[in-house]
Amino acid sequence: MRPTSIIYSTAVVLTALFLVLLPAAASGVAVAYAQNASRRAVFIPQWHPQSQFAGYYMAYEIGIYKKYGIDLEILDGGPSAPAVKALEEKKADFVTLQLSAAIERRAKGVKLINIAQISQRSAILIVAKKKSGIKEVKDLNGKHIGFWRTDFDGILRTFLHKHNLKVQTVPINYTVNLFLLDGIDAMVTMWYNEYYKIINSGLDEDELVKFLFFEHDLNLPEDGIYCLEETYNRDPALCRDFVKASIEGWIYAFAHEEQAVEAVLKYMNRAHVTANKPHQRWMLARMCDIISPQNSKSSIGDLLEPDYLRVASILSEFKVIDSIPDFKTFFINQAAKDVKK
Amino acid sequence: MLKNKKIAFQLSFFILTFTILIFIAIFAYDYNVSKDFLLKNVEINAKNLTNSAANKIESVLLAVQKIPHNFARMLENSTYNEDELKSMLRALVDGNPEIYGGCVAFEPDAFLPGNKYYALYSSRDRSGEISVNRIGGESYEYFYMDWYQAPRELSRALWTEPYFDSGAGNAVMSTYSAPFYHVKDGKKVVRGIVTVDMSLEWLENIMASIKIFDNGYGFLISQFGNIITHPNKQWIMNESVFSIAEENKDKAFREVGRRMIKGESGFCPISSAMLNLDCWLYYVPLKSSNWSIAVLIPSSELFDDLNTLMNIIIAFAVSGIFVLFFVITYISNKVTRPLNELANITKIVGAGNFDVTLPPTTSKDEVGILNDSFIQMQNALKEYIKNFESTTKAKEKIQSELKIARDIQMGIIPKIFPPFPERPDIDIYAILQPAKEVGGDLYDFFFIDDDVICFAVGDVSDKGVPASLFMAITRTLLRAKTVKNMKPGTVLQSMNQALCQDNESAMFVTFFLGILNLKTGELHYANAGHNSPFFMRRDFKIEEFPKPQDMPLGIIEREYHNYETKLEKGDSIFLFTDGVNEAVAQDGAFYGDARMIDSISRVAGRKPREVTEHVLNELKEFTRGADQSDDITITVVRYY
Repeated sequence: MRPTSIIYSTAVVLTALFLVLLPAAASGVAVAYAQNASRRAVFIPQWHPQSQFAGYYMAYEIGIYKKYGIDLEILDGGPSAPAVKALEEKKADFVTLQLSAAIERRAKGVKLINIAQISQRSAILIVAKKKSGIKEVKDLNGKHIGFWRTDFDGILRTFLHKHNLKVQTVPINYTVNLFLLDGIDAMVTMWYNEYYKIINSGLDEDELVKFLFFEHDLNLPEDGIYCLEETYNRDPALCRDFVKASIEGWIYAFAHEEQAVEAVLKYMNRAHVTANKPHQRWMLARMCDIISPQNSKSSIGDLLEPDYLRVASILSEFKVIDSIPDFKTFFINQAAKDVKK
Repeated sequence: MLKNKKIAFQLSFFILTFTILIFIAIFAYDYNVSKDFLLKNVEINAKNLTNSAANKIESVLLAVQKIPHNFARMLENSTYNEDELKSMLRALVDGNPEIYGGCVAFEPDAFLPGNKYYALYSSRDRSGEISVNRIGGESYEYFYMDWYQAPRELSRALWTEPYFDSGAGNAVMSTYSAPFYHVKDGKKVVRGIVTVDMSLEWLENIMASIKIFDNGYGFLISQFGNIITHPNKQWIMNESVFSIAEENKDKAFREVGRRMIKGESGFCPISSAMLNLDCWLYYVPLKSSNWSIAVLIPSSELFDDLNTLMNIIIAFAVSGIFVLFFVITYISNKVTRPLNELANITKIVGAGNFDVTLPPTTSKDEVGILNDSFIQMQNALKEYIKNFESTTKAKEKIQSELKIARDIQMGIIPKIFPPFPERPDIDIYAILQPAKEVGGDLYDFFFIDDDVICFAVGDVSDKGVPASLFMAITRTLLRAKTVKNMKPGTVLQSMNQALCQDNESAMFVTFFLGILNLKTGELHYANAGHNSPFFMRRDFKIEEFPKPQDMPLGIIEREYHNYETKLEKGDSIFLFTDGVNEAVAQDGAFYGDARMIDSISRVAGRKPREVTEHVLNELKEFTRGADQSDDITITVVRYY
């Protein structure tokens, strides 16, 4: 199925879900709005503006947060402004984080909680050039594989271990240039981002081979919405409203692809990051694939305990964390329940 | 369909159609040849412009490339302490105003043992002040930066992918990095990287100088297809040729982009991706940096002059075709007007009016000749009709006279049957059918006395009026010369004598004369060259009269023999002329004696009228459709 049609069908399904829950929630929401008009909140995504966060920008742009009575400020994320740090320093109320990074911070004492698991699938993949003689996973043996040096490499190692691969790992920064210059045979990329950068640098998809981790029995949910426990305890309604508004933003973005991409580009230009429309359009389509995958047991907002434990045990195995934080204290699924009600 | 149209239309249609086709063929050929010629010139022009810009850029890049190379050689050949290194780096930036900054970065512990990170960066600030700072550390692990990692991993110097540098005033920068080596454990290994940073703003001036036609321009892309310079500043470092191709769903442009980054050069048409117009693109690689420089020329401008010229030619051609149309219509009308008049007059003439006057014509062309011929034909027709009328009158007169002659001829032979109803001992039936209005056959019968009857059949050697006159003479002579008790030979001799006298027309007549005594049945007869008659005996036997015969009458004076035979009661005699046995059928076959004998044998014993009509009917059946060639006479005499 083409990305747009996936987006479209997802949007239809999610919209239907919302229409069902709306009458039930309407009265309560209305009361909440009245009581908590103009609640201020600050949100920072874990990276520069891009379609990875299209739902939040879209919700902000068309006033969904305002509709829920939230006076939101969105800060630009990125390496110079790490989201988790902003959360710890209470410069932001809500952040998005990778599940693995969040578990690590939680295990290391930061009292953050997941209030909605947005992505349901891993977007991580290994991309390789067919001309390097790589066609199947086993062909990666002995090859040079680039991976982001600042990221947790346990997931890659788990993948390699799972497939009994011995490779030469090359830590790299967040560019695909070394791969394009043939300095490495393969590299770990995000499906929605660097993989497209490679295509956008003149390599055709049929010259590449990709091994999506979720297709190789290694599905690890990624982006989720986090806040500090104390924020949640202080104002759970705000947290739930933020989640609902954000999910509504995602639904809108998937249904209005062009509008969402334009909104994202506006934020990208403001942050002076390189931006082009086809890339952001691709990214939005892939976000749809991972946020609302076909044939999934879970839906947007859900974090299933087995998924959580899979990620946490990898972290534990690689000694990133000493002990696995309790799932029930890590994931507060009230918002997701609200959505499902 | 066209056949029904007027000549003017047909002429216009065919001439204009072929003229237009020929024009289109010439025009298409001319347009293509001119286009190829123009393209070739434009290609040369674009090639010159592009190569000139490429050379300018290459000369700058190559000069800049030498700086880190030389620095690297120095580092490989000597050992320097930190202060020396700093002043060398400062001098490097100071001495090369075209570069923004320079850096020397070492592998872990390669410069100062115990220092994982050791890198010096020298740069020029906005006031021109040059500073040298040590960089690297946990927060800046330069080992993983492209400018360090790529040349190190690839063991070769290279230009990094251009990038926006906000520190350098939001300029697009690129870094040239060259590795330097030392020998460690007997192996040549990378010791570090020397780089120079360069702002690429100067490229814009060079690229802006590429002007071709009104809107043609040059642009530069990096080794990965990213836009480095372009008139649309928004695209610089945001878009790549591939994202533009994707945005415009232009697969061909993506392919061109792939060829560009592969270091190929070419000249090709591309559709709409960059200008939303059909364009021609010329591109060449910059060998030093693997970048590609291209010139884009809108096709509309490229072919503007040609199209204008072609539009003028088309306008001329269309006007020419209109003029041609009017000329053809005028000429064909001029040609066909007299033809139409002629056609109308022909209708009038055809209706019988020969006096209508044709319009005078002075032209000597085909129409003039036709007109003259028509006048001649009209005159000839008039003359002919006049002659025809007089001839017809004369013919009608002759016809009427012949009719009278026929009536007279028929009047002199007995025509009332049975001729002697009061006599039970004799019955005669006869017919005479002339081939023309009047004929040369004759028959006759009359009583000489109460018991003797004379009967005769004759055939004049010719037909028509002369024969009829000769026949009339013969019949008159028969009546005049037949005297009681005279033998038939004597009668014939007497008739012959009369006919031979003054017979200048040399006509003759065959003649059979029989004299039958009804009391005794004795038959005396003489035959002057006539067909022998047949006996039809009472016992149904058919017998031919014995031969020989004497000569026909009118040839020469001589004696005629008498013959004698006897008829029994019930016998008949069948007399005929050669119009019967020599009758010719349509297929040329003769009726012949055999058929005639066969015919009469089937009616032997019947009455003379029945015999005659039967033979005549069978004869008609045989000659059906054929013209009667000779007079037919049958006479049947029956004795009771």
